[in-house]
Amino acid sequence: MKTSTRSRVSTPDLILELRRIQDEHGYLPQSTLREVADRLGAPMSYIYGVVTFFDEFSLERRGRHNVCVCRGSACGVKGGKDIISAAADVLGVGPGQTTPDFEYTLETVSCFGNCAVAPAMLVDKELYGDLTPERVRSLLDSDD
Amino acid sequence: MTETARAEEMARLLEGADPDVGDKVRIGVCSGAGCRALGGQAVLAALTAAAEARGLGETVKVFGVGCPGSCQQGPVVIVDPPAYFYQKVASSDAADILEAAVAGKVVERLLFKDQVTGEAYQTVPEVPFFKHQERVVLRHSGAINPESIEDYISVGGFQALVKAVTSLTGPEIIEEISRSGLRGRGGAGYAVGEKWRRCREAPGDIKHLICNRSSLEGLDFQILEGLIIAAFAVGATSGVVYLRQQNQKTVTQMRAAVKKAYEFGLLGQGILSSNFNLDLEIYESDSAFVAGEETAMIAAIEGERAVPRVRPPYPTEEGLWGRPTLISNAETFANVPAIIGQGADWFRSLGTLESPGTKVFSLTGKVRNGGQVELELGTSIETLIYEIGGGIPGDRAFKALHVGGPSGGSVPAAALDMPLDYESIEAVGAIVGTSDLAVLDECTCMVETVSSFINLMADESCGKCAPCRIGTKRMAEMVDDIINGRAELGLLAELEALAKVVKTTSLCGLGRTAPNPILTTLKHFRSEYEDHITAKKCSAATCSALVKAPCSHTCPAGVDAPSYIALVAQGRYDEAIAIHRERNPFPSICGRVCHHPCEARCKRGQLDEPIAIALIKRFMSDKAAPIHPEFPRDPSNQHRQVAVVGAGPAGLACAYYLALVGYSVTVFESLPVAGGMMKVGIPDFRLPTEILEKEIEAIIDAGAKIETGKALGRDFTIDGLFEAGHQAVFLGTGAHAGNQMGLDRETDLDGVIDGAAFLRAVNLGEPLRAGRRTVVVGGGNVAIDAARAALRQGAEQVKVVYRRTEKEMPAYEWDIREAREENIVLDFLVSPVGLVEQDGRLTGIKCQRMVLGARDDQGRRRPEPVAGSDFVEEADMVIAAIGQSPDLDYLPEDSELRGRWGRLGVSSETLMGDRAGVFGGGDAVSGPASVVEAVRHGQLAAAEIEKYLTGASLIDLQLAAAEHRRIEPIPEEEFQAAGIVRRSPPEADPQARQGDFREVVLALAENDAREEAARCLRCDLDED
Repeated sequence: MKTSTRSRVSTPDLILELRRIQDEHGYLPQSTLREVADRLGAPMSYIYGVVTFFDEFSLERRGRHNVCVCRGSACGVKGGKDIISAAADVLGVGPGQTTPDFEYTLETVSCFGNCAVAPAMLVDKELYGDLTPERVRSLLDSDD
Repeated sequence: MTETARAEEMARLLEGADPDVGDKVRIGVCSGAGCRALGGQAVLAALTAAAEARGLGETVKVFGVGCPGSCQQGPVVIVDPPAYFYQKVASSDAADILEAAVAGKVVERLLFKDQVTGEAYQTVPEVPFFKHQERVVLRHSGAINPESIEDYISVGGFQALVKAVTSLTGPEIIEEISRSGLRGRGGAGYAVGEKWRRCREAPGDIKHLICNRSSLEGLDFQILEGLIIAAFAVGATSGVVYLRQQNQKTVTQMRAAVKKAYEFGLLGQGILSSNFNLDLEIYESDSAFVAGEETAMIAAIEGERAVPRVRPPYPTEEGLWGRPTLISNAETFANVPAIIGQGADWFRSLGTLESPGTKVFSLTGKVRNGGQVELELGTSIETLIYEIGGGIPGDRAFKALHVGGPSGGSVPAAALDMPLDYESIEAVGAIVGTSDLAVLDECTCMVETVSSFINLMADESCGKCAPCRIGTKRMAEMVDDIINGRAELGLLAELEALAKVVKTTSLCGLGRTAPNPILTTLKHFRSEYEDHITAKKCSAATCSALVKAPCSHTCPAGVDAPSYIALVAQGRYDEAIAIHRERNPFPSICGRVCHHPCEARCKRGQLDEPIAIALIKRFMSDKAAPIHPEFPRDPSNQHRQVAVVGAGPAGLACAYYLALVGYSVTVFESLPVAGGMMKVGIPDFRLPTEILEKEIEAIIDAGAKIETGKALGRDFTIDGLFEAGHQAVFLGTGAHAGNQMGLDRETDLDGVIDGAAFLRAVNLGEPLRAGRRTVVVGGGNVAIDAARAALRQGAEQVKVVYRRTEKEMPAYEWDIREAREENIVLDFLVSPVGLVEQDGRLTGIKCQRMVLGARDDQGRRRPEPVAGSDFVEEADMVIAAIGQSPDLDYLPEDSELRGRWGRLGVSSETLMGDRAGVFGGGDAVSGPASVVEAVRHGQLAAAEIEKYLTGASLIDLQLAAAEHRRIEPIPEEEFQAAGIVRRSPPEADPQARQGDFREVVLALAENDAREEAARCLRCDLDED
């Protein structure tokens, strides 16, 4: 018996394409999405569904630097809450927001998987562990 | 293929082996994410540069090694031979490490040291963190360069693959894996061999393989070897390695490893000169939690939203692009080379019958040595936390092990013996697959932890099915209401019901496991939820909506510690005393005898050491007069008479607060002196009489009358009190009757006495000599006090016997230490079985040895007798200090005031008994407890008596107003920042003090006390 009723649009290159655009612009401008939809022959609603599903994609312009604090369980147990508020405090924006000068975007993530150095934070592609609110302040204050 | 072919292939591979793995001294710097995040790359650079500068290229090899797992000790360096383990290495240590390596010496200061015993361990296998692990998956971690295929080949890598491809068939491999009993390491533990067989037998020309590579950094070649063997066995010709792009290093390393494997002919067409083909792609994913679900992962790889679909069909029948797909976790694949290489029987020799082998876990939370650990399945939680993990920092109490992260379950302390394997982990409502083991201690709030989990799951729910989409959100709101003090008790039942619905009706594993933290904590930690709801108390003192400051929140009497500490720092002692006395009229007494739970939760303790709150309290109360706090006073109250029975801490506190708001209060005390257990239970060397008298005087000064020598039941009755015009009665009669050991002749043999009676006689100055050889039975404060008092009453030798071990002793550790300093001998795991007499005189006590057996609900092991271990301890005095009970002989047998366990029965909310106007509190209600708990009862009863008599409480009015008090912080330059150590008090010389009852612990000097107070972080000023 065949129970599968899959009728999905198969667009294996969509996510790669979206990544390329985001790398280029720092976010996904609306006009580029229309082009992608046309090229792949997929409806815009489908593209939008994929874009808004994954945290990595942004429809708004983001900061030059990305600060991403882990709110996973291990980090939470070791004071991750204080790390998030310290980062928000220094940058003056809350999680999910970008500084007005488009220098920093602050984000949180479910888990980096680097629980042993909890609490942890990613600044662009550099991981920092064993953080204290003080260390977050000095890291983000000195970072250009 | 033939054996020759196999040999040829192996030889060809080995040509690629690293020739450097010879006689060079290998200096491996951990290149794992943990050590990198702590500065490991700088250490590697420093060592490399230093080796070059010294021209040591021929003698040493400096290289990055795969993560050995000891991430909390990072950055880690291993010098081999002989595998010296250096931890917390800095770039500045490079020169010393190199010099020692060349000279064959060890750098002592970088060795791992036990944080409790200080013992240093030299090599990897000796370090306790590694000693109790069993390494199959991580066998090469810390030994080879994870980025070098040559290194991997040099340690036997790819031999299993050669064996599989050249001499085994697919079904033979599957048979071996089936026999090994290997179960999936990423999910619910499905039998791997069975999954492989289904995929192999599924119809279809093209088959796929997917490796979920979200763990095990640095094991790329081993994982590749396993998955290539798997692909060969099931007949898959294309594979995808699914990686999370947050770990860029992992992505880069995996890409490089795949490229290398192609170069070595281990991937691509005609692998190892056979006709087996396998192409492998890397798929970088976003961190979407739901994508860990296999059908969601497939959707993501196909370029769709990562939402799961209904199974069956299972991926083995219909997976990626609708074709049969073998999808497994990286750790499952990483086990395969060892099983094929060493055989299923060897693998089965590890672990348990149902759960063979090992499992890699991430050990985190409140544990000294966290990191990545590999355990033989079936290892106990106790070994994990106390042997491998080195115990809990600050030796705080273990509360729970949370297994499996946000979709897992919590195991309570009582389950310390529980083996970690598939069955037992499933039984607690968790799954092995999530690999996350978080140690939670007494300073972790279960409800707040659950809140963070369920909020995360609500965020990560993909939204496809309603139970998960709506249910996780509603559960998160409910738990948030609880930690914010907005919930009613009925919510717990609703939460539990909803959790069960979401668990049973959600589409995929995410929704079906999201309720696990809630369900397991409701089962094991329900009282913690209830405390948040009814008492608005968070026992860990972390829920910010309920907790102003951890110290005052934890204090049973709720004394505003941060305010008086701030005032002491400023030298404003009178104001400090008044604030203390607002909730506890015994600062001087509690500064000496309180067990200060406030300090256990002090936030400064997480930075270095807690504020010495008790010492500050003692200093200020010695310094300043007992000034009364301001309470609103109603002149009409002086016509309202209240009788208090018992002049202990509960009765005196009750009388004090009623007097302060204007009532006429009389305290009746049966003994010739006031103070209750503070007077007759605590010896002078801990609490001098004049200190006690000063604070009792202050209560009289506030307007309370005390009549000593008046005993309820002998000199007056409760009815009589009401007839005499008292409108309410508070019974604070304490728990003064010593429990009996249940031995023959215990009550009538001379020289046998109970601890409370002994201390009472000593404290009342009755003529009493201790025995020459005194044996005290028990492990609580009364036992230790009695032992030390006996020594001062002339005993030559005092021994305390206790049926459990020192760890379980209820007595305060500082008193135990002081007792030892006074040469009191403590003998553990000993229980009395009989008294020995000669000619009607006590000559000894017959005892038996005990062992600790199974655990009780609190996680304490029950002592059990050792057969044939009886012995006689010579003694001419035996003091039984095994607890006290209230003596309620003053009540008629059928009195409505008699409660459970021989205690007074009163409402826990109002402290009023079933007789209107009669209240009770202190030890008589709670059983033996502390002074500060009795004070809490006294104040609560006073406020309730007010409400009973007038309908409102002036005491509560003042306490509510005081909640808004704000003492300005000291200037920042006066703050005693990190690095300033906690002050210790001077103590009387152990030799000199044994002969008399002088006070042992002395006061802090003014300057020390003020500086100590200036260490306070002022949590009370944090605005949330």
